[in-house]
Amino acid sequence: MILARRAEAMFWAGRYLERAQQTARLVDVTYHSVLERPAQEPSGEWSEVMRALVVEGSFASRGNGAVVEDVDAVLRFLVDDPDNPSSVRSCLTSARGNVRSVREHVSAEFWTAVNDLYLTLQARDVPAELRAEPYELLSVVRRRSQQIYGAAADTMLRDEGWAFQTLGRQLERAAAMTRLIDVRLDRFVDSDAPASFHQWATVLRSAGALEAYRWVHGHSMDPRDAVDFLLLSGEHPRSVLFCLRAAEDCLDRLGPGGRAARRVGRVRAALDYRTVGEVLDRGLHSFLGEVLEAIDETASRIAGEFFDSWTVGPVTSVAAR
Amino acid sequence: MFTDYDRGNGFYDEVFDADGSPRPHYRLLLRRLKELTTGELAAREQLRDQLFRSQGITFTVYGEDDGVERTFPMDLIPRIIPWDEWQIVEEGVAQRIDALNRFLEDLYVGERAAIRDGIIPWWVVVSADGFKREAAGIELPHQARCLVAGIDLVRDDEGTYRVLEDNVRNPSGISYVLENRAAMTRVLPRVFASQQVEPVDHYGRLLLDALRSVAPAGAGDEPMIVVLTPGVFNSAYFEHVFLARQMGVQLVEGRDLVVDDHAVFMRTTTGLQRVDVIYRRIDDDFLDPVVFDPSSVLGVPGLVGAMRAGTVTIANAIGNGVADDKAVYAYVPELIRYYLGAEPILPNVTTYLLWDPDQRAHVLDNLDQMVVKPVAASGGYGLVMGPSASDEELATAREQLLAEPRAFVAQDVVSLSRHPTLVGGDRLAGRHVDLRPFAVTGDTTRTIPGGLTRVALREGSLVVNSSQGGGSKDTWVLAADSPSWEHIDTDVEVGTT
Repeated sequence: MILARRAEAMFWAGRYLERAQQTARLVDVTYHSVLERPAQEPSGEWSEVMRALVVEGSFASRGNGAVVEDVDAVLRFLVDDPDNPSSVRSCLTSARGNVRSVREHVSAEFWTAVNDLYLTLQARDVPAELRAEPYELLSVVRRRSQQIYGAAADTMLRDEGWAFQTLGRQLERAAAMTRLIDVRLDRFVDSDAPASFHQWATVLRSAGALEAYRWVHGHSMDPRDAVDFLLLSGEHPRSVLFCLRAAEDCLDRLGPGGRAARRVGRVRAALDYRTVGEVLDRGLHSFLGEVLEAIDETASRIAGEFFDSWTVGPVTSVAAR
Repeated sequence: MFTDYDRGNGFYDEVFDADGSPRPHYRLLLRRLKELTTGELAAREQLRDQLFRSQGITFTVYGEDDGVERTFPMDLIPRIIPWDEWQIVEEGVAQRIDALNRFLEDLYVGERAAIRDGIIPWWVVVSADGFKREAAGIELPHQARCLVAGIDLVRDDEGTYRVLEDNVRNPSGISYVLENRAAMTRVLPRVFASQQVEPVDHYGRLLLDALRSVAPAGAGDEPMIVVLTPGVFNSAYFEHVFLARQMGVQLVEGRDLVVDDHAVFMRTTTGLQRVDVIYRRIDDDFLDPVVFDPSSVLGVPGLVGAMRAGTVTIANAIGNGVADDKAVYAYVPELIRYYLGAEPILPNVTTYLLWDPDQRAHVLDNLDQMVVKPVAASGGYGLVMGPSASDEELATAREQLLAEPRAFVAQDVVSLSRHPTLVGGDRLAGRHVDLRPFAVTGDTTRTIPGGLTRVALREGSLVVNSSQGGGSKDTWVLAADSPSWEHIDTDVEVGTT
């Protein structure tokens, strides 16, 4: 049995920690990709990143005249801006706040790891580092995020709190990957202009999947193979299918047969029983749109089923007297 | 270590008698301590600091910048109480709690016999801040209103234990008792092992048993018990977490609970779960916005209604603040005689009630030798120590107590007993101490052996509260069959100026 408030805190801690790590990776890869890019290749990576992180609108509407070509402004916005709820700083602050509110129910190692990363970011002059050389800061965020996960996995009871945290993490990861495929890969599918090697590597690095992809698909630069890997792989821990399966496992444990479990089960099945050819025949972009919608719906059903503070009414589980 | 120690006079020294010789029950400790080199002692202190820091045993001090979290310093030299002395304390505390429970039950549910028979005036009772009309008619199983009680004791210059104050609303500090003991066994294991010290780690069990015993009728064999906390920003939050863990029960905040049809439920992910007993660490005023302070967001609307309907038991009961009141404290010995037909085992400290003209005159004539205390304060706040107060402070105190005699009491300054305490390096000096035993009452009263010995760390200070810069010591009650160590030669004698 777990208090609704606690479950919600763990769920959002999982989501925010994943989002922080994902954002850091994306920014890191894009920044260095732009540096190394052959001059004749089109730019536009930063606006892609904004779309992938769903912050294009809020960047534009900040109204301070910053444009996406102003890399300094973009970096600060994505990494450091407290008014951007999805910046790395905001994500870590929210994650830490959530974990702190349930501190007595998580392991000391997990809390310490989260708190330490938050404090590290507070202590550094982030804008200066972003201007000079963002690699070290971003790599600290990435590595320590992994350490956080490792500490948690190593020390925490596999109870409902753990399941909610995992659920949040996996749904966040699935959504992020879906958007990434849409924004970075879709244009190369069925296109006459194939990806250059550089673009290809950028896509896969953004997904944290370059080396794993090479193990499975060698040096193939066929976009179909990339979609197959990033969307449908049963073995790569970042693939959309892998994450949805993990989320479904959590929900089968927490609320078997419930509305959220059924919704995620449906979308998981949609991926499980299709080949990449069938997905592409349907149209990748629209298919990915449906997957995103399903993930969003699952998240809101989770809130309704588990968190939304039980309004007083029919009582569904009371000890018999 | 003891070469410069001055036992002084005018105080009872816990370790050294009037001639400067160590009391028998401390002799073995002193022998063991002498075996520690200066370097070893320093190393042990560092280990202790490390333990406390990594466990996060902190409390928040209000009134400082940021409400900083600090560790509650534990001095390495334990305070030792022999078994027969402890028996007196234990019985005296149980007697006092029994009388208070009877008084409170009589007041809120009974005929108010003590008031009717002139033992304590009605107006004194109802003018206490902690008096709550809302408690009227709400019975407690076993009359266990003071389920957790912290009866603070001091020793006067003759070595007599006296009750300094009764804390029966929300006494805290037990977590320090348990953590101090755990630290001592890690930091000075050989010293500890050489004696037979009564354990304290069963407190969680005692508390859980008491809470079970007050479950409402119909709660079944496994009543649902929770600890209700105001949340992470409360200064004692660490202790709330600690107790919930010790007992293996849920820690909840007000927003996790909901009252429906006069029963209390917990919001879980699988539905509303009925709650039977709440160990609440929230003051009365914030407990239920429907009945008490409507602006409080810490409590549970309708909670008092549920209590009244008998579907949930709250510990400690509401309205206990009457007994915390320092003016009511003055009547407790009479209440013991009235309700129990027995002489109080533990006497009070002489207390003057300021609405009585003779007592007031005496106090005003001797203000610089008195302690003036607000009747409703806790944590040592608002105290005026006559002997060390400035002329302005005394003048202000005089004005205040003339303006509102009901709001203050005055007491003779008690020369609290002193205990050797490490004050830097391996230097020992005498510091004033008190004792807060923790008693848990369900169907019967059980006391943790020892309790919290608080130390006023500043030289000459008599104020021991954590919020005022106090520290603590591990408190050892020796087993009943401990050998007498009178024959042990410690080579320690100290000066008595």
